[in-house]
Amino acid sequence: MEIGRASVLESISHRFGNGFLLTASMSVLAFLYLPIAVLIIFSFNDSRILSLPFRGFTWKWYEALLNNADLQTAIWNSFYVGICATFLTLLIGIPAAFALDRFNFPGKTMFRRFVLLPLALPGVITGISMMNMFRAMGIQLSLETVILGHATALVSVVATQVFARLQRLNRSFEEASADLGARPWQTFCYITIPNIRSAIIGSALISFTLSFDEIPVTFFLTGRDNTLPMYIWSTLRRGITPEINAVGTIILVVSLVLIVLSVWLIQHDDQKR
Amino acid sequence: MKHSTRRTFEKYGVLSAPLVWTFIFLFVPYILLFTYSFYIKQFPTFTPAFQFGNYAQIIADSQYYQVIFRSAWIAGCVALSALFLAYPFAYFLVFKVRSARVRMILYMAVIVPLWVSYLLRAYTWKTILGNEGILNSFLVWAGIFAEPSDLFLYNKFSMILTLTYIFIPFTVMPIYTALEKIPRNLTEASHDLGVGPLQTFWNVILPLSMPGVIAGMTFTFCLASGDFVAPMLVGGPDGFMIANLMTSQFGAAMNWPLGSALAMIMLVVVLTIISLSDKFQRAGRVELG
Amino acid sequence: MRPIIRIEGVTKTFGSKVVAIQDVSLSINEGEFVTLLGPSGCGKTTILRMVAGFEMPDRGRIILGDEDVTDVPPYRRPLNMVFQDFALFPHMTIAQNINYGLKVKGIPKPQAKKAVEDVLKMVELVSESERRPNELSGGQRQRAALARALVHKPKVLLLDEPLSSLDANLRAQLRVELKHLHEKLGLTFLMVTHDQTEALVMADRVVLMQDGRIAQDGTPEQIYDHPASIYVANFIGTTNLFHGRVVAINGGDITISSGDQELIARPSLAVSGIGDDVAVCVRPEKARIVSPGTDSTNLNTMTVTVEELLYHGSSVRVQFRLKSDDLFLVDVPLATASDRDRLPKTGEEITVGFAPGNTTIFPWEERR
Repeated sequence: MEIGRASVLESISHRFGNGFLLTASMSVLAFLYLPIAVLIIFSFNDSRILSLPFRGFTWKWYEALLNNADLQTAIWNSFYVGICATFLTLLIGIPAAFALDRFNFPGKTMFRRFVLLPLALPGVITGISMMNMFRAMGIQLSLETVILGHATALVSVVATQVFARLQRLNRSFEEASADLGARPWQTFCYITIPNIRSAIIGSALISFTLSFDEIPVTFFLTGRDNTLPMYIWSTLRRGITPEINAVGTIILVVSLVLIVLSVWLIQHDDQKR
Repeated sequence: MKHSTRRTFEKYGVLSAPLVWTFIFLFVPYILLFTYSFYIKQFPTFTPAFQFGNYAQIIADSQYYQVIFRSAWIAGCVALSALFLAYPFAYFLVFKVRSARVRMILYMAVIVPLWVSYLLRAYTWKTILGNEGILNSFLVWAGIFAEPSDLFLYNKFSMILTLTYIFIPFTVMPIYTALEKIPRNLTEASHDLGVGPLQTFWNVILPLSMPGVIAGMTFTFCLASGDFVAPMLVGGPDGFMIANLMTSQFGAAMNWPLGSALAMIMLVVVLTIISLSDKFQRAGRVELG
Repeated sequence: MRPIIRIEGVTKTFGSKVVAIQDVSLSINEGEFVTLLGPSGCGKTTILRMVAGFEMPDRGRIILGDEDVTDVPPYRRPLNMVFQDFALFPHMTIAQNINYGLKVKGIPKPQAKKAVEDVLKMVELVSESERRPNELSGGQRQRAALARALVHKPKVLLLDEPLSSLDANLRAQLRVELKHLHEKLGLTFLMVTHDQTEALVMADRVVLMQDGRIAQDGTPEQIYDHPASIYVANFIGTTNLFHGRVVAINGGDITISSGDQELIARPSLAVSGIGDDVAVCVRPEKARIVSPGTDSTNLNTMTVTVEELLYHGSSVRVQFRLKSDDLFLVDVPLATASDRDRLPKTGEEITVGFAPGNTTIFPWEERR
């Protein structure tokens, strides 16, 4: 029996292939976490300047956070905007996903393009175009205009996720429900929604997260009240203190907790299927 | 009520909210932008008109079209470097990591940085690359440089580095998804036919992952070209991009018509790229069963 | 027996080209077990879905009892369906699945509880009632789907290929169970299947479909013993076919000339004149090997060469090659040891024969 011989290239690549991949992947991770590590380290640095050497461990920047009323207002504003915007994206995005999955109507392709557009379109365009419109209509910029901007930019997140889930949903469940006597709205509440729950929750979380850190759209639509990113932006222009690092670290920790929670929830949910 | 009438009622009921929203907040603003792009700048704001002067200015005046090309060039570099870093990582996760749990942890590890403020992450690069930054301190300490260099900041290099950094996660995600969908028995079949791993990758895996690659690169290119934060933080004069140009037209320069024209150009370019990308993805998409 | 379902002149087209159902009319009587049988794409599932209300006919009407329900949505029709993949709601327990329809209709809780318990007892799933569908075996899921439909005591039970996702042994067992269930409950069953054994075993009436039209509508015996066309003869069981021309008709006999021989067949209303182009069909189990010395004057006989012996467990299918180069099949039962000993060997030349009374003739169709 003839057993084939590997070419030189093949042998080398096989030996070093896995090693290469492992190194490359770990390097990528190291690259990704370097600034974050720097961020965290300097939030504990007892020095105003964000550079080496490391002068000593301190909590004082975290303490300063507690006294910073502006920062706290900004955080609160971000939550307010995030929750309202997410609510709106669900309200608009879920019907949009259904319409795209189930119905045919004139102008469907154009509608689809428009809904998906803000996903890959730089936020500046959404921000500028909406700012133009509000100005032309004489509407003052405020947190509410920011909410509308975020919702517009983020609807596509919900729409795409829910749409993908709907495509995978077995249509016979809804037919069985109708066959057993449930009216369309009952089928929707009792059968459809529970089965796309993970997509709804997942996309809502992503939507909220994106809203929380949103910059370009917010930049053009902010009035007097700042969201957290706008606050950080103005601080960066003025002169940074490590308080900002403390904020970043806290956000990281909270997000980590949230992610772990949501993944656990979704896994738990899916296990029941 | 007749069944078909009921269906139509249902259909438009569901459609109403998204349609109205899309019309008011997407369609109308773009129309407005389109209209403004033909106006003339007149102190203090602008007057209605129908003229192509703004577009002509953009094409003719080098300070404008240079910015456009620079943005495209930088965005292209970012897309490529993000690809070269993201692909091996995604490949490693999908094909080399055995445990599903470890795979998920590593995947999450790539997503987690997205949760730290974009501003902060970009700003931190400024501190790392600057004269008193970590990189310079390290190089001086190691004796490689005699004194801190300002090679690293406020130029195209720092722009590309920072933006690549931001967009790696966004490139990993679609490639990971595309690779995951490839049935494992295809690689097994390839090996069974006597084809080694390298060739299998080139002939089987890479082509099948193309839709994900295209999606990731399109996304990165479009968003990187329209970024205005990184240029302001780490770009310096060399990093002035189209979004900054637009912002200044709506700000200090008070030239809304010109800004609108720029925005329209960007809108059209992005739309074109997305359509092309869609076509490529669909052409390259093979039914994986 | 009065019709409980009437399908009148129904046509359905999908897209602009695919005509799924072409002017089909069918009547189903109360208490019957009717099977719609046919290959995939013949339109049988479409008809079932139209009766259930999930598709609407382009032309024609569907009448349930005395009411025209063509325009009535599925949740207002008094029938229930068992879906092909069972469609049990994954996020509910079996008990909740069964209770679902009662809940949405607003049936009071104590009444609903009792109905669910009763039907669980009937399908023997009481101990699984708190489990979820993915924890049950295929057979258990089928019973759960049945229970969920039957708890509403529908006038008509629709079944969409209910056994197709189960393995062979389970299918054999459940065929009989479903038949018993039908007899016990006295409901009307309308079932779709592509498996002819299921149709023959379970149904009172088989409706065989071909390309959107009804090919034959009759009892299992009628369809099997008196197929109306080549399509039916080939679809149900296997058959031997001779292509010939009518040369004589006298009373109880009709003579066909096929190739270089003459066959006597049993007359049929479908074939009337001398010179008609016909097919003569005889089932393999109705043909016999004629041992030398047996009286074969009343049989059609021919000399053939043994080509292959296909062992089927309880019988052997002997494949013969005719002089015309066609194949001829004979099923020989293997009841005793001596049956096996008397089997011919490959290459032998033998005489086979079949009685005229065991033939069916119908007009020849040049189809493949």
